[in-house]
Amino acid sequence: MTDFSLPFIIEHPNKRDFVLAKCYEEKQECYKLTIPAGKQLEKAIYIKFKPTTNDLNLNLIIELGKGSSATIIEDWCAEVKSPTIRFGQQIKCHANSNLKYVVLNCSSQETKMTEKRSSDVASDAKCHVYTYHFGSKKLDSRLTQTAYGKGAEINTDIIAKSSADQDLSFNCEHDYAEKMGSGEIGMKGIAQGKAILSFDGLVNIRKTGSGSTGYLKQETLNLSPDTTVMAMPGLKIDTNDVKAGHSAAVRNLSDEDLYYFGARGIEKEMAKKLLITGFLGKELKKIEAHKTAYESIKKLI
Amino acid sequence: MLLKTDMIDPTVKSEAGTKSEKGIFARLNRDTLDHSDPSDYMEKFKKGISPQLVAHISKDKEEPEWMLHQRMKAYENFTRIPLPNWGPNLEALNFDEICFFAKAADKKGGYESWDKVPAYIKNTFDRLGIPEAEKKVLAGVGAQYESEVIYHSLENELKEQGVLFLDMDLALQKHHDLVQKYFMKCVPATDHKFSALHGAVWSGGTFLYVPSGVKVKKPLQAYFRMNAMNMGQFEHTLIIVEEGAEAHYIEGCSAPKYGSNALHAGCVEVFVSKGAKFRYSSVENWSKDTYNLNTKRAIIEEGGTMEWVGGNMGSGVTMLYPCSILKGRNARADHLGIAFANAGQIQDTGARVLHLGENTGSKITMKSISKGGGHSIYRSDIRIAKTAKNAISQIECDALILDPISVSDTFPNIKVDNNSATVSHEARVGRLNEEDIFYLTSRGIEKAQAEAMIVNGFISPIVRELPLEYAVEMNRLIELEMENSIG
Repeated sequence: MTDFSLPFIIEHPNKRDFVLAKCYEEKQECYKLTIPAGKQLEKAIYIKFKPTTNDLNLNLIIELGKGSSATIIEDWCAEVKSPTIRFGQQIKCHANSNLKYVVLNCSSQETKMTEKRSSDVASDAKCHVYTYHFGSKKLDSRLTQTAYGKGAEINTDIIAKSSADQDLSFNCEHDYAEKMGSGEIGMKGIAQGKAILSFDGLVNIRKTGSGSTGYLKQETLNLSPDTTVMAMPGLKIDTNDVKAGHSAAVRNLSDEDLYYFGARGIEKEMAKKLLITGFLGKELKKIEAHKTAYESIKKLI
Repeated sequence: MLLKTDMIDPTVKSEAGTKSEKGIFARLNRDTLDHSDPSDYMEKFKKGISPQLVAHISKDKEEPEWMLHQRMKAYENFTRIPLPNWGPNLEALNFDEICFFAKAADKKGGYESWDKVPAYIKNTFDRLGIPEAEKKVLAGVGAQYESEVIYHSLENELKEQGVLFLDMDLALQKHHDLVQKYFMKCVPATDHKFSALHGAVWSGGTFLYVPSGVKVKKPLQAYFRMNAMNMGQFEHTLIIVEEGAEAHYIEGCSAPKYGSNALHAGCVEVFVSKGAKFRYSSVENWSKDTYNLNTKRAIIEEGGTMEWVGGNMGSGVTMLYPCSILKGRNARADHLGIAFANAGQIQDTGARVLHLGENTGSKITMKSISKGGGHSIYRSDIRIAKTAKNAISQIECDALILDPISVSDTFPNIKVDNNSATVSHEARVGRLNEEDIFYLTSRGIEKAQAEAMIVNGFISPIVRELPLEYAVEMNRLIELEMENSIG
């Protein structure tokens, strides 16, 4: 399929269903994965990263042709040894295409990672990005989805667990540039130990985005007295024919919930585990169909 | 008229316990607010700010040396601190075009009777309904015209209980030690450019001291009026509510429209002691020439309660975020606000709450309306310190955008440093519900009137917290905005 070496492993039963090429964007080396127009991939494409260089700087472009559909799983759960990772990604979903993009990050807690992801979604196309972040010592994640075609649907789910002295910072924006766009940002996390967890979200509906519906939901469980949790849910609405809203909540496990389990003979620590699993479990269910990814994340939760 | 004042929510309760058949502010109209008096006295006052002006203000007020020193230090800060690099663009605000100090009448501490106030000034306050409100619902009134207070009164009964309610300039002379102890301790002149400017050129304002255990049942009011073109008003409000005391203070303000910049950079400092309760209500209706860059902050001690109720209708640009510092355990703050951004207006309002004490609680409820290309912004900053165990904060903000050319933004910021805190935030943005409009129009109500009724319903949870007469005023101002009739 390729005549060049890759800094990642691609797994798919039929590698002729897509095209992988080396490219240059803004003078930077990149890799481009294209799903041809009309192609419907039933099985997910796995992209497994196992970088070993000291300073990994990588750009990945994903393009879905008109009417195509695919599920892509980007897996950083192998033994990632690079102490510094800079990752850039651009997704282009052409009209009527449908992409599910799953990011699994359980890289070493020594890794410092900066990622900048963007997606442009055309008319009646759908792009749903799920990111599960459990790794990295320090993470600066920026994700922007733009609904630039009429009726485009953009969804983002960010699930994170920041433990010990991890410092995870997420910035996610949904930009509705055309009519009748829709979507939701969900940011859900757990902070414990001496961790820092920051969720910064923005729903931006432009003047040209009338008829759009955009929501943002942030929810953080704050389990330790030494954590720092930040929530910045923003709305920027430039026209009136919209439905937009956001909510944010920062809390600990409630005494009532713990009491409920206690009264049924379940010890406090076990009750906590069950409640945490329940808190993130709903998000895990969203990728239940993709067994490998599902099992990896389940183990981490 | 889209609305009659009798369409006010009948459930609105008067804290003062009186209900006048004809509202005090029912006569408010565009002429009342836009009216300007002759301002020949302005010939004596120069525009622009300089150390000489700062020294002149201090000398004119016969202030003690420490205040002059504090003013000069604040002036230095003002020259050093840049304009904020966030929020609305303030580049068009030309400090050289603003008159920072002007006196329309020379009567230190203000007159004690409306009869003695110069007729043209009294007529302005008559039109605004202030003397009438004083007779009917208020325990005391202060009225400021340009840079100085021209009238001040307080019921004898409260004087006998030790309540002090007087012009800030006079308070500095008469209650020097008390003023020195608290003045700009809550809002330091190093905070930002406009607190520094305020510290340098402040003039007039209100001093309120409520002794321990005294409960002032009727509200006290101060009204601030800018009359001349390119005027700047920098009144300082210092409020001390001692242990177990209670009071309610209402602030109103307005200015005529000239088509040229005016500036309001007042400062409000409130100290709420142990177990005390204080409510600060304001109805701001500066002209759309005005930059309203006001700073309001309260420090609340153990078991104290602070309530901010505000309506921002006027001003071209507003940047106003009342702040509560919940210092003592079980301290509580409630912030309720309405902002109406009409054509050419930017209403950047919100709240700041800093939870320091254990079991502290805050609730923020904000409503905004954008119309005719107006831009409303809700901005808040909630911080829960490590020491604020079991703190609870709840934030709700709703925005209505009445047409496709108007804008609404929401930028909350939450930072939590301990795990026993619970913080929740919710915001919704949308337009008037077509089904609601249909429901009303199908019952014979005109569309414009139906829209105004829905808007009034939208803001009623906040308006109902005002005494009836002021709820009427607030609704009347909204009504005028819905008609597009305020300058």
